[in-house]
Amino acid sequence: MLILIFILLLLIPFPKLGNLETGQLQSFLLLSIMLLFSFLFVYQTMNPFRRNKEKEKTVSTLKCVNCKYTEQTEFVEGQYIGEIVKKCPKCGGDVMVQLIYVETGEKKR
Amino acid sequence: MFQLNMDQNFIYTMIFIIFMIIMTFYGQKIQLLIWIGEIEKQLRKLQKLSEESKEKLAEALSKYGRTKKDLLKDIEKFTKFFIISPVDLDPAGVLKRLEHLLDVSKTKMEEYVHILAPKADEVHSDNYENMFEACAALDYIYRIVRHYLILGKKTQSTIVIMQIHMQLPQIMEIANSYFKALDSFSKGLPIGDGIGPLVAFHLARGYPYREIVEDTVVYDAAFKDRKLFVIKAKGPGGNVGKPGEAVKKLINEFKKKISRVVIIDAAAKLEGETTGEIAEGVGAAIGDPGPEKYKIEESIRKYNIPIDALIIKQSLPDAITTMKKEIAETAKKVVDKVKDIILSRTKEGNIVLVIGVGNTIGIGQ
Repeated sequence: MLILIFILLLLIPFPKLGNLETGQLQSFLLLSIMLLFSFLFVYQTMNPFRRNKEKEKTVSTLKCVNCKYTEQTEFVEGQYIGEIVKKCPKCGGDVMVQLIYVETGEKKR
Repeated sequence: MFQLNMDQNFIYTMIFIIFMIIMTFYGQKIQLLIWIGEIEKQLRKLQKLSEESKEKLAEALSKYGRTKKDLLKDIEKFTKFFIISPVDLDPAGVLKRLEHLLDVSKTKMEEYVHILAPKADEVHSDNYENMFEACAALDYIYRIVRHYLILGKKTQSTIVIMQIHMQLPQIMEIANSYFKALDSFSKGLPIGDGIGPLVAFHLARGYPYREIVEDTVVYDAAFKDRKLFVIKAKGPGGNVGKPGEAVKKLINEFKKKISRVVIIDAAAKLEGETTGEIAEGVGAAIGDPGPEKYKIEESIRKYNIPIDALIIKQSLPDAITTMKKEIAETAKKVVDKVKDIILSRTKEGNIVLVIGVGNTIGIGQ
C-alpha cells in the first residue's frame, strides 16, 4: 500500500512518461528505486518503537457467596477483591467482588 | 532535470565511486548519527514519561492538602533515593545485612509517603508507596539511558551507542509498563503479580485470619480433614509482606507436623509461551532479593519438608500492570491444582502450608 502511494507521488511531477527518452527513463527509474529504498529503510528503522494501541476495559466480576449468582460490572474506583458490595437479588446473601481484571482488544496496525 | 549534456555512463560511474568512498570512510559515522538521533528521540519520550509520572503522583497526593507544586519539589528529591548493596566479599551474614537494609528502605519509603500525604490511610499509603517506586524506576531508566547516550557521544563509541540502540525497544516497553502501572496503583487495581495472593484468597476465603508478621496474614483453613495455613500479604493495599518470615515462624511453631509446603507465584514467561500458563516444579518460588527465599529454604530444610511450586507465567509488563483476564481466570485452575496436590500428596490429619506470593494490591482478605 505504502509502495503504491509512493510511486503515485513520484508520478505527479512526470505526467508524460511516454515522451521520455531511454536515458531519461533509466535515470527516472534509478532515482525512484533509490528513493523508495531510502524511504523503506527509514520506515523499517523506526518500526521497533511503534506500539499497538490497545482498547482497555476494567471489569469486576461479582459473585454471591451463597448461591451461583454472578454479575459483571465496570470497575468502580476503591473496589477490591473480597469486598462485599451488595445483597444478592436471588437469595439475599452477600455479593462479593470475586475478580477484577482488564480486558484488552488489540487494534490492528 | 534529465537534460544531461555529458556522457551518462561517466556520470553514473562517478556517482558510484563517490558513493563507495562515502560509504567506506563515513558509513559507520552515518550509522552512528542515525542511532544517536533515534536514541535522542526515545530519550525525550522517557523524560516525558518520568515527568508525567511525577505529576500523576503529585495529582494523587494533592487531595491530602499540599499543593501540586510543593509536592513535585519533594517528589523530585525523594526519587533520587538509593540502596547500597551490602558488601559480599565476606558473604557470612550477607542476607541478614541485606534484609536490614531492605527494612530500613521500606521504613524510609513509608516516611516519604507520610511527609507527602500525612492524612492518607494505610491502604492508600501502601498504594502511594508503589506509585512512588514506579516513579523512581522511570526516573532511573531515564537517567541511565541519558548517561550512556552522553557517554557514547562524548567518546564517539559505536559500541556504547549500538548497545543502547539495540536494547531500546525492551527499555521502552519496561518504561511504558511502569507508566501504565501508575494508574493501577493509584486506583488500587490488582496487578498480574497478585495472582499468588489471589489464589490464597480464593482457597481460604471465609476462614479466620490473623496478622502473623508485619503486613502478612495467615488463614487457619481446612480442606478434606487436613489443616491448612494459607499465607498472603495483607491487602488490599499494595504490599508483598514477609512470607518467608511467616513460614519460618509457623515451621518453628509446628516443626515436623507440617507435612508439605505449596508455594504459588507469578513467574517471567519466555517469549512464545502463553500468558497465564501454569507450570509445576519444586523450590521456593519467590522473586525477592534473597532474605525471604532464604528463610523458606532454610526452614523447610531444617525439618526436611517437601515443597511444591506452582508458577503462573506472564511477561514483566503483565506482572506490573492491571491483571489481565487470562491471568485472573487461571486463579480457579490454580486453586484446583493446589487441592489436587494436597489430596494426592498428604494424608488426613496433616498440616499443609500454602503460600501465595506477590503484591496483593486490590486483593483483600
